Amino acid sequence: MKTLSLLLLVSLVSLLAEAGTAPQYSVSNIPDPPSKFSTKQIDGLTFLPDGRLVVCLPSGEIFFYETESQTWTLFAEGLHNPLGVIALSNTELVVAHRPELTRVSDTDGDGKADDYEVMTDQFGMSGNYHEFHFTPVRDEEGNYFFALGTGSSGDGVRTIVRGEFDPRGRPGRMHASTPLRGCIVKLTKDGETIPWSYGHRTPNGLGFDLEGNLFVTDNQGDWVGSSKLFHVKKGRFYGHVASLAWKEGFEGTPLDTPAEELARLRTRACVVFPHGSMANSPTQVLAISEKANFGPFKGQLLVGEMNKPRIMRVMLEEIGGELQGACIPFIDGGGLRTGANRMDWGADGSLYVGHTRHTWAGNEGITRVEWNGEIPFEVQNVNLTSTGFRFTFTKPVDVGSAKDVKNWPFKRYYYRYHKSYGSPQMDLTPVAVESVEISEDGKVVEVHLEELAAWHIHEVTIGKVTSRDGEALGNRLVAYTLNRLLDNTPPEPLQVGGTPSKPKPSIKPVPVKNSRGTVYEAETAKVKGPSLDTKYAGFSGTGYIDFGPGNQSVTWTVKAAKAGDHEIVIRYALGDGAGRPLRLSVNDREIGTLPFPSTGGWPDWKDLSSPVKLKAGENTIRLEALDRSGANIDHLQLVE
Amino acid sequence: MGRGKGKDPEWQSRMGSCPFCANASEEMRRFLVLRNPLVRERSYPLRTMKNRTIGLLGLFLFGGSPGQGAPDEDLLEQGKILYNSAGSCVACHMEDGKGQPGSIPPLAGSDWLKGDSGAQRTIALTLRGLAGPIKVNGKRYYSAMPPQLLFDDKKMAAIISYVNNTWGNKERVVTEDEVAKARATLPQDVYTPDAILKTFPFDKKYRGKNGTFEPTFDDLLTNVTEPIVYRTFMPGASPAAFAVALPGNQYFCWDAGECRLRYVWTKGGFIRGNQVHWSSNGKPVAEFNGVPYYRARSSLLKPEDYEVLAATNRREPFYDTTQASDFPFEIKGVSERPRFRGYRLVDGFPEFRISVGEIEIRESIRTTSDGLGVVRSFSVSPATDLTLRLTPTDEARITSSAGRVSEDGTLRVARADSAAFEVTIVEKNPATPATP
Repeated sequence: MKTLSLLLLVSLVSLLAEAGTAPQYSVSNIPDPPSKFSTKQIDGLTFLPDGRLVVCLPSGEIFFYETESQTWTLFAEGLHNPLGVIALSNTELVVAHRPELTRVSDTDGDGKADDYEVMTDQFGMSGNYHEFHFTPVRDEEGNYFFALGTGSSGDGVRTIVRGEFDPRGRPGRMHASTPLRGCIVKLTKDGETIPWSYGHRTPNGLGFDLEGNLFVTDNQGDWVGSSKLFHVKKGRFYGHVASLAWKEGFEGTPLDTPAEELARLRTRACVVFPHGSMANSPTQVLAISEKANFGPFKGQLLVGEMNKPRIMRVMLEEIGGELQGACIPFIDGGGLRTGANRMDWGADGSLYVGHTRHTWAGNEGITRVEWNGEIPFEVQNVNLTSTGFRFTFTKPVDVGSAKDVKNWPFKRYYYRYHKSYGSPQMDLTPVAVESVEISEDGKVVEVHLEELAAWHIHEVTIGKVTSRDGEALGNRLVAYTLNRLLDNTPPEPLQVGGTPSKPKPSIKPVPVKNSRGTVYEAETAKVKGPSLDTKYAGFSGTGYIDFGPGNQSVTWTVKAAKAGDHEIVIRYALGDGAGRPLRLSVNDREIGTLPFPSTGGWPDWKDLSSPVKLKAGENTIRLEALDRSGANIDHLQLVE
Repeated sequence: MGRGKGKDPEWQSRMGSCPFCANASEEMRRFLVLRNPLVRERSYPLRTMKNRTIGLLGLFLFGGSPGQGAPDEDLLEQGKILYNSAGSCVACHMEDGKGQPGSIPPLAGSDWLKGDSGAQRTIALTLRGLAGPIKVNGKRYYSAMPPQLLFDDKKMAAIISYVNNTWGNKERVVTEDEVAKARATLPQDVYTPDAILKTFPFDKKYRGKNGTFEPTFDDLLTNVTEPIVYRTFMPGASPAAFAVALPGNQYFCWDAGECRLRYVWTKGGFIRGNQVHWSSNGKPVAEFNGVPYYRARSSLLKPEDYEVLAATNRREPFYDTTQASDFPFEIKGVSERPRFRGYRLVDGFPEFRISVGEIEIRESIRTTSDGLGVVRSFSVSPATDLTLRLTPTDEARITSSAGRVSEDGTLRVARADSAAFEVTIVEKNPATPATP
């Protein structure tokens, strides 16, 4: 645990400030499905009308689970990375897998699927691994919606692609060179396949709210400054450029279009999940419906997250004709695993969660979250007022702590809209609280701010506010995506530029504890992929290595005098605002991911330290790129 | 070897055919002649050097232990002949020493040959055999090496010395005495990977990428008794592909992106290592061994080998499926593109459904009763006259219940036959009879 906390310092610092799952919720584990391929990653999860659990695995297997008897049965196999499932009946499923939306049926009643009917394959596949086919959902009329991921610059296209190849969609970090990649697609109940919305990057998760509004998440990356939740409407463009190649009437190459022009085309997210503190890779959207037995939050949305053991709660309201609102961690740790990818309500109203990773941050297996029927002390709702925000709590608050303006440290910022990966928090500004008012019943807290700025995220980590009975607040980090004001909303700024805020003190690299270690230069280590560079001064040795995206690594062979705990210190520079984590392995065994937060600029070298267990004598220490680039790495020091 | 040579160039894959080898061996011979004096000349001063690091580096660069002398040209020539003789090493490890991806490990550049224990390990596993899952240079293999009983000590020494000094390998020569001693003293059992590595462990630097591994479901897939249907990325097909294993060790790739059978193969087993695909981010393209004996012609797919066709990192594709206008079915008055409609499992066998306009075509593929090929059963509804374009090849004999398949592969199916007809593709001259 100690190792882990140091390794994941950045996320843990913020976690400690906000954790976590209220004591009224408990998490338990469901046995793993018996995949013959030994995979336990869950990529689709729902329930049959008869109450059995359905899961899809990356191996293409679909299992049913009898919750009472705890028995698994194989229903279908041979699907291509299914990433979502709908149960039409006890014998009929609709599965989103890479090549098609497919109806998988057991027509002879032997309990095993025997018919795989293509419902639609009228979309492209370049063969790029990142072109995932996410979560089908079905509306009340019987129309289906599904989400098509873009291809990654981590790889190109295959020799034969399915559907028309359009080179206009090919350039860029994430690409859409075959039809409807980066789109939400509708399959009408009459069988017609039509593009529904554009501008999605990695839309891993569609879901309806109880009013029938359709939502989709997106993951931080190019054109997505921080991860988002969109209210999906027909014909709209949500920001990622590649799919514009498939939008009727769009001329030219999407990537060559000026950012200002694209910014005018885009529809804002109804909720932005601040990167690092709230979510890095949000997943499915699930409404807290009538089926749920999950506390006083009916009608709100749950959104899963890959990088943290977290499921968030989203509270929306309609302002100026569009939805916007707040997100807050909800189930956060407390036994939940990372990689909460798919969720649904069990027959008893508890929440079943399927976990996955696909080589990224995450986990595997199935967990179940149950509510014990007692009211947790949580923020129940957040609403915009003309002067600030109204926080409704599930229980009366302690007046003394809630009235203290110091417990409401608001700040505001926005994320830049640009083609680079992620964005720093721009024009980060503290927002002073003028006064706090508490309702008579003690449940409603009106926070009056000195200023409300439209088109900015307003974030607060509520301080030590307790309930009247002294109960600690379950979750404290609240981020409200304030697009529109109640009145007189100024025109939407493009936000393609601005001043990046300085990195927060909490994400500064760990200081070097002991600088007398043995230095192993990166440029003399075994380097696979990264190029040797000397562009930015301040490096030791003869240069540093520059990590790019893809399958890149650096491996040092270090000598330890004795076996046991050691500290390594890595000197690096990273000019991009967003961190670029690298995977750390010692002696070919992966031990975790080092965060590598921004150092503030490419010429600014900083140290990051990590404890490692070494054996006596020679050891290998490897840093590997994840799905994207890494920092410039100068050297590694081994502190004995 | 030799399959595909001088035949339809489209099917000439580097895997398994050998136009490359004939020239390479002459080059290799010259290389060895040139190399010998070099080793002697450079290795003498090395022995007098005090600096151990440079000494070791020298050994690494120039190979051989200075005390052992250089490989003898005649010895290597004899080893080469034996290696390439019928039914010998070449049958599996191939003339270029590269083995066969997924099933037979390479000898060229193999870490298993390297280091202090390398030669002894090679002698041991050649004499006694090795069975079980092994990792070679980071890749997994799961097939047995039988004990080599045909060669006496001298021949064995020649073969191993040849392997140790060919295709860029620079290991030491092996003597007749060493082989004799090993033959007399080694335990009689076929080695397991654990056993051989316990006796002859790798030098430290080779351990990471070499050794044994826990076999997975795919590794154990041989002689299936029920069909296996996978959707996965397949080389030489659009990304919407099927890989199907039939009982009787016949395997095929069916491409849903173009609604057509792509290729059929039998040797070398079903696709391997697809665990990687399913447990990873989904990038890897499936690998399979050997060369298909039937590969459907496609005017757009140029004669690339499967390594090229598996590439994922291209800027542009060779072509997209909307350009593929040569759907193998021609039906008069029907110009619509074929569309893949799905499949039904009948006794576990997939029956693919394609629609072309108002017409539905179903195709199911099973192993022939003699186990030497496949039967493609078609049904067209409503019945209609049609033409099916098959691909003539020297590797396979193509016949049909609906009439004669012409020289150029054209099969004309009369309306009356179209409701149910078969096309049988049987491999000609199978090198090893398939086991039904």
